[in-house]
Amino acid sequence: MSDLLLEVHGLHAGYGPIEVLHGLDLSVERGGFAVILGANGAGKTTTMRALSGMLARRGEVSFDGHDISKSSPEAIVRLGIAQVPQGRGTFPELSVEDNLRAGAYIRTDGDAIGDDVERWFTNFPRLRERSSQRAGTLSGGEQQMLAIARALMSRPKLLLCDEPSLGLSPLITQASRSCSSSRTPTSPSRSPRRCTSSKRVPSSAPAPPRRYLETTASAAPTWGTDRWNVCFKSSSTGCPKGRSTR
Amino acid sequence: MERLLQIIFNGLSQGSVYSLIALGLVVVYRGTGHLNFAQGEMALTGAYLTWQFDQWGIPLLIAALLAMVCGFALGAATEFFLVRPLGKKSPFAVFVATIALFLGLNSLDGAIWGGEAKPYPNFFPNDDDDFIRILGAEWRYERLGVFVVMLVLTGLFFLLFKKTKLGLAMRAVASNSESAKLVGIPTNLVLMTSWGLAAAVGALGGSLIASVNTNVNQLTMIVVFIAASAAATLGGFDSPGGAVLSGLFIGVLETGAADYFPDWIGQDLKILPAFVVIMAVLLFRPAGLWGSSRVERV
Repeated sequence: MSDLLLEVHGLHAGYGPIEVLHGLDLSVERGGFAVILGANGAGKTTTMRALSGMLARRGEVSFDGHDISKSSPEAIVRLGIAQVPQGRGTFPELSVEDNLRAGAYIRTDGDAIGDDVERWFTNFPRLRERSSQRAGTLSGGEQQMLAIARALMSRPKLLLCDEPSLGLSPLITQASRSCSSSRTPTSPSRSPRRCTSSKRVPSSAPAPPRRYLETTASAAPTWGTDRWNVCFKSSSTGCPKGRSTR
Repeated sequence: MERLLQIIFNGLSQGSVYSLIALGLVVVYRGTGHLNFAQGEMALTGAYLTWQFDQWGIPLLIAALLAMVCGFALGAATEFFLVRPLGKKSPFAVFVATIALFLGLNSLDGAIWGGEAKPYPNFFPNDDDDFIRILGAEWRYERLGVFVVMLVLTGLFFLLFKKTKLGLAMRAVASNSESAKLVGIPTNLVLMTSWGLAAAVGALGGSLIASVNTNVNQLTMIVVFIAASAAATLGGFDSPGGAVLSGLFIGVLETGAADYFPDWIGQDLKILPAFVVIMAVLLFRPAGLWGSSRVERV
């Protein structure tokens, strides 16, 4: 089996007649981590949406040995990709707990779903306090926590986080700060106008955003994968150059 | 007192039919955000189908169940062939399409079954002495039966929404269909099921009202549909419980108005007081009594 979990070659995607991605190459190693940086309008969200099957796209996309270039969003989730959508990706009219349960829609192991809900309530005590509250009444940061927990409820192999700094909860702020301190090779300073290419981030990259990984790793994923794969998208403003937490 | 109780009994069973049709409207609206103008005519088709199956010698209860199955297929097909392709283009296209379906189904029913009223069989015992007497008021079994069926169905829908995975998926799709796709919910299938369920409940509602009216004709559902959409509006378009309660309320109010003011309201104007109340309520609660104005952080 290849040591690449996600491999993308020549990905084209867009909205109707407007093409936004012109042949994107991207890969994420098993246990690895990738960050996509770019200016507004560079196509970061489009990349995420194309990867999770929400947009019409062409090109080669293989995930965990499966060709997912033509798969439906549902099939892609079932293969193990979860996305934390940009902004308010929660179900505003549903309770916090129902949001989490909806995140586990593809799973059939009823009891373990309850355990996982409990697990995320332990990780995010704020969510437990508000478990019966409608998600739309949460603060922005709390909604972002919920969106992340919900994505993890499907026990994904790859987690796509779109603009996770938007909520600005302490968790997310830490994550984006450590992201800036990780000196990942994809430099934001070039601010590519279009995502025509992207660089692979080796898993041995110096200091991956550990804080972020810690928050999720404390949940000790017991389902086959020993490490989270995080494809982590951030705008250049979310990862200001030169700011360090150390 | 006796008279009031009698009005309440009759009103509750009349309102039950409104509730059933309104329940179908709400299920569809919650899922897709469309007002299904054809809901009443889908119910009419269901009523005719029950009648037809009964004519073919199928026992009445099974005939009604078969009509519900056909109704489900009709609703699901409507979603698949009309709502889904048109909805991608414009919500107004769906709106117009359901009106077209309303007229089309009505004419189709007329073409198949003719313009004359068909005498309708009874679901419940309907002899002169088939009633229970509560505090002097009579509650006839046929009317009590309609009320009980409505209560059972409402209970089932409540369980479906709150306790089952399909219900969770339906609520998730209604709340945010984009995110529903992202967690792996087959949104199209869920919407098709919503339309199917709504039409199936409608078919049963249509059969029941035809049974209470003792006949079915092309106009049977028109007034019922108007009252049902009023019930859905009053209850709040996204609240199944609200739709049911409002349907009952309208039923009781119109029965009472017709009974207490036989001279200047009577049978012809009986729905009017209900609409006056509805407009008054909507002035103060535009989302309906139990409807939620959408919660959204910007």
